[in-house]
Amino acid sequence: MQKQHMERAAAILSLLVLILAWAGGRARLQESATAHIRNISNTLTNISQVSDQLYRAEQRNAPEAPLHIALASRPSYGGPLKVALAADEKGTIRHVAILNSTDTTTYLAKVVDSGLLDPFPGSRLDTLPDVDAVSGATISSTAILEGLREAAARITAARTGKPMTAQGAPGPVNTKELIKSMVIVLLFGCALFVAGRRFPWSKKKGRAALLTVSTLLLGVLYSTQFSLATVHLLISGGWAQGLASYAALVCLALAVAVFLLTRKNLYCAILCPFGAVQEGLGRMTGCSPPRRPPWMTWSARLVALAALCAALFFRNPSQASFEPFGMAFNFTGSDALFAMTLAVVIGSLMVKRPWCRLFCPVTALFDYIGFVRSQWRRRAGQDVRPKEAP
Amino acid sequence: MTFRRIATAILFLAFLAASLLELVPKWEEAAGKKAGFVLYVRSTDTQAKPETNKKQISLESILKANEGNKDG
Repeated sequence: MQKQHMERAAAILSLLVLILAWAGGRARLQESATAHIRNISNTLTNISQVSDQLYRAEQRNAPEAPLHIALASRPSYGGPLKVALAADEKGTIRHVAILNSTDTTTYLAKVVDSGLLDPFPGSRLDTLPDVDAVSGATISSTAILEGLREAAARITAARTGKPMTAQGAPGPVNTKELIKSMVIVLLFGCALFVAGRRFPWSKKKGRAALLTVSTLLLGVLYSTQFSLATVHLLISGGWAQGLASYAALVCLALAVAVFLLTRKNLYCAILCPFGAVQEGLGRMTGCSPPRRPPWMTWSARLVALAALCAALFFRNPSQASFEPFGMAFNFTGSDALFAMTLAVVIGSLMVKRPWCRLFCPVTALFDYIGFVRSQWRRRAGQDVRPKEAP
Repeated sequence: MTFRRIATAILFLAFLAASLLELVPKWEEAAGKKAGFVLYVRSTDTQAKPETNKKQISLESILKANEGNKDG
């Protein structure tokens, strides 16, 4: 009984902390565009707004040659990506900048290190350099390039006095993304069928087949699986401003919906590609699942909560990202994630699904949803039960 | 049984350490950023702030600072 009270208190406290982090993050978002422009170059002074998303600034070293600065925002993987482009009166681009992004830091660094921005300074507004998107970080690089084109069109329109050329509506969902989402829906449908009573063949074989297909599709081909960063995206409302890829969000929504309806965590059991890899490795040694003492359970939950709070406060999903999924399927990530992936691979040979059972934040998320659901049902049951006569 | 317990504990601690090594520097970096922080800048102007947003010391600023120190 005391344990249940403690769990209830922890659940309420977690919710309060999350709300506080969300509110704090909202306050932090009130950063003015002028502060961003000032930080593009320390030569910029007397910044004034000309129209929506268009600014004018003087240069300290050349006051007679003011700059037009345009801002633009395009949907990227983790939410809107904001860029700025500054050009002089002659139409020569002087500065390009990425002001804000909620994409994973390593992906963005990969894009910038590849030299995507380098051809822009010095080129002219009417002949923008023809730069290809960076392979392996296509969504982020496309958002940057489209944003810079939009900003250039905004300055050109202001200089010529002509209306701005259409740059395409923000947040277009391309066919590939649509197919990806449909594949996810189909996989969940198959998972429900395999886990259901009407599945005519061996459930064990059906599950193994679905895990293999899911690993190939969600892991190797699409590299899409939901993580704590996706949970942040859902809670923070970042998805409402447009995303380039909704696949992970669709995956999360379906996983939670299926869990609430069937009380089965089908995503982790039958679909998770990272879980499938661990299980495959475990089959080689025939190991059994590890026993998780309470201190491990609560430590893992605390790390997940702290990461989610940090992401909500800084309004950046990459602050919540510590899962080795990207490293396992994409070979993208830090040294710490590489070490973690290595530990998972070695651990999988000793115990069954070590990451899932010991540390995965998705497990903590489903624990929380399951607890809230059970409390809700208990309370509803108490309300329905007729009161005893005195 | 004891081996499995030790292996589990070591694995858990490895995951915990790696996750903290991944998260804490990111949080420190985010906390250190001021309002209007710019992630990356590419510029024709050598005085523009670099991608780390730290002030770049230009030759001009060094010469300017040394203006009153011409005697050596």
